Amino acid sequence: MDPALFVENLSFSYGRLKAVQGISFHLNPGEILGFLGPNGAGKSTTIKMLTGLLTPDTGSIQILGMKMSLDNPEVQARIGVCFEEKNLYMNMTGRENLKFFSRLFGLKYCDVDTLLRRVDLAHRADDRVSMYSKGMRQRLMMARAIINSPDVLFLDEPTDGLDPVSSRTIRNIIREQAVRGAAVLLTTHDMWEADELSDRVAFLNEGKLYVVDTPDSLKMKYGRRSVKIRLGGGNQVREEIIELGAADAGDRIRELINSDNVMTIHTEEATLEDIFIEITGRGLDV
Amino acid sequence: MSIVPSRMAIIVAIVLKDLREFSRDRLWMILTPISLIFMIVIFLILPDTVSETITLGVYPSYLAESFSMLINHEAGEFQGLEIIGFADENQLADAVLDDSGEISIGIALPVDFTESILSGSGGSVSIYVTESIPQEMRRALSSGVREIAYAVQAVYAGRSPLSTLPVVLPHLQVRILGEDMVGRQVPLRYRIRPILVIMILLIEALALAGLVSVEIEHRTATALLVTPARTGDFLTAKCITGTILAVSQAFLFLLATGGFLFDWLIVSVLILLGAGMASAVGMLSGTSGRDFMGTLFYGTIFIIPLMIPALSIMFPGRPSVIIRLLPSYGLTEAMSGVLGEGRGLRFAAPHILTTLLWDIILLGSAFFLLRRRVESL
Repeated sequence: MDPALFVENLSFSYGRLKAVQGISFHLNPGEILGFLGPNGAGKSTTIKMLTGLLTPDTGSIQILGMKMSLDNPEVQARIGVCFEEKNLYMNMTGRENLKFFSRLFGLKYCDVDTLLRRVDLAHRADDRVSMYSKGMRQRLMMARAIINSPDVLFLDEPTDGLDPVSSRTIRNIIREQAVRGAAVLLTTHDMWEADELSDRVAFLNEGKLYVVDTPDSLKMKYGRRSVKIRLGGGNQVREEIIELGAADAGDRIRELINSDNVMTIHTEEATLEDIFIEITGRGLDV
Repeated sequence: MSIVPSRMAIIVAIVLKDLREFSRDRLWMILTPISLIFMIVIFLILPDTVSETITLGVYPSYLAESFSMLINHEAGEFQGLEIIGFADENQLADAVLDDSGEISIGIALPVDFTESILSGSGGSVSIYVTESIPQEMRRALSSGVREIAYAVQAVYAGRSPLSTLPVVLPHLQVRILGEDMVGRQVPLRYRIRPILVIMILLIEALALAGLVSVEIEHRTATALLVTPARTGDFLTAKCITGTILAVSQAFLFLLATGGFLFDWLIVSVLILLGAGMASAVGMLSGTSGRDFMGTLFYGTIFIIPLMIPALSIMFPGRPSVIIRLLPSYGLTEAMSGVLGEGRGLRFAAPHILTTLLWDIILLGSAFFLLRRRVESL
């Protein structure tokens, strides 16, 4: 299977600041790649290069086998982008925003109503966007990004700061798009979301790509495989951590369960955040 | 499945979107019709005639004939002074003060003027003028009265026969530098029309600047550029939007004020060139400002120099070199000539070419800067 997105040795500098330093990766059709990194890691700069808004200093970008550039409408027609900032036309209604973009994509027929229903905005379709809440605007941004049924979808922090209902709607749409066959590049610093949605994750820090792998594989490789058991007996509460790789781990767990003193049992699986810190030496919320 | 639409379809879509946004902007939707109506009202309330005759009121009325004889002898065929006699000095003063402006100046001589002169007592002469009569004219009138006194003395003292009067003066020739507009002066209403057209064009430039700055401030331009729309389509659409806004307003104004009664083809070309300049100013202002106030600030910076040639029309004399170098000078001159004096293509052509050149320079700069700004968002 040919990758939908192929990136090789991509670099970009803002003056002396090296924002992205020689990153390479690929993205297959139907795959969701979580692009993880703290603020200033180079995620948005990478998205700008991938969507043609910035010209890389070095490296190449191929989308669906075509070279990416701002003046290549063939490529632009087949991508969808959801920006971090809510760049909608505020004086136009939600319906007008979508109809305008459908014209830019040359869509002869576009079922805007279905799209608005999908993002729970049908009841506010004819209200001006300036009257929408933050969550509603983000859902409209999502609808705009998928209006052309894109083959490659770029999503820059699509659920950042949203209420749980809006976040869930957007996550469901992302899954649907991947099932449809779209390659999805999702930048986020929400590790839970990345774990939940991504087939693979890429760790980006200070413009460098540290690792690209599946979340399970990373957890296996970097996480601790252990069980934490809380025991109560008399007035005392104590915890015992059992390494799952140890030879007597099974016997020890069985023994504690049979002791009737077990209060709680937790797996000690590493989170993506733990792994990110371990690999890059830097937290995600900085 | 999306297809790549034609560039024309993309540009039309962006222009229609811009016009829709413009129609939703309360500020411009109020400001545009108000400014248009305001300009039309200004045009209509200004006088549409020029009076080249000064009417002189004289008391007592029997002296009016003597005045006429004296003036006509000096001025020959000059019809610029009309003399009306008054039977009462108060009536004369009221006539000068009257808002109708029928009598510009009044001269009241004592009833025994001749006797007073001959007896050597002089008598008292009153000259009635309003505050609008310049100092030079007041001095000239005083000299005129003294001249009359000399003449009276000469006649009645018998120093020379009446036929030799008035005193023979050296031959005077009036030389007028520049173009003598006597007899075909342009009324204020028509002189100000080019200023109003240029003001309308530049107000619409601000409207376009607002649309451009919103695209930049809200970064909606980047959302456009990740579709099949290219930067060039975006810029072209903005230019077309600005031109449509400016042309439509200027067209309505000229329609309401009879501007198309002149050579409509030249007038239309001038409006188009002016609208192109307005679009360039709009794009430059929109590119420079970071928000509404910034856009307004830069808009004003660009607009004031462009207004100067239009304002200079109101004052007599040839504009300075600096004014002639301003981009809107050619446009203003051509509009003034065509709309004010009914001139034709021979007069307008060099100005049209200069304006076209300025349009190319300004639009080129606006395209370059706006492209850079949009692509760096």
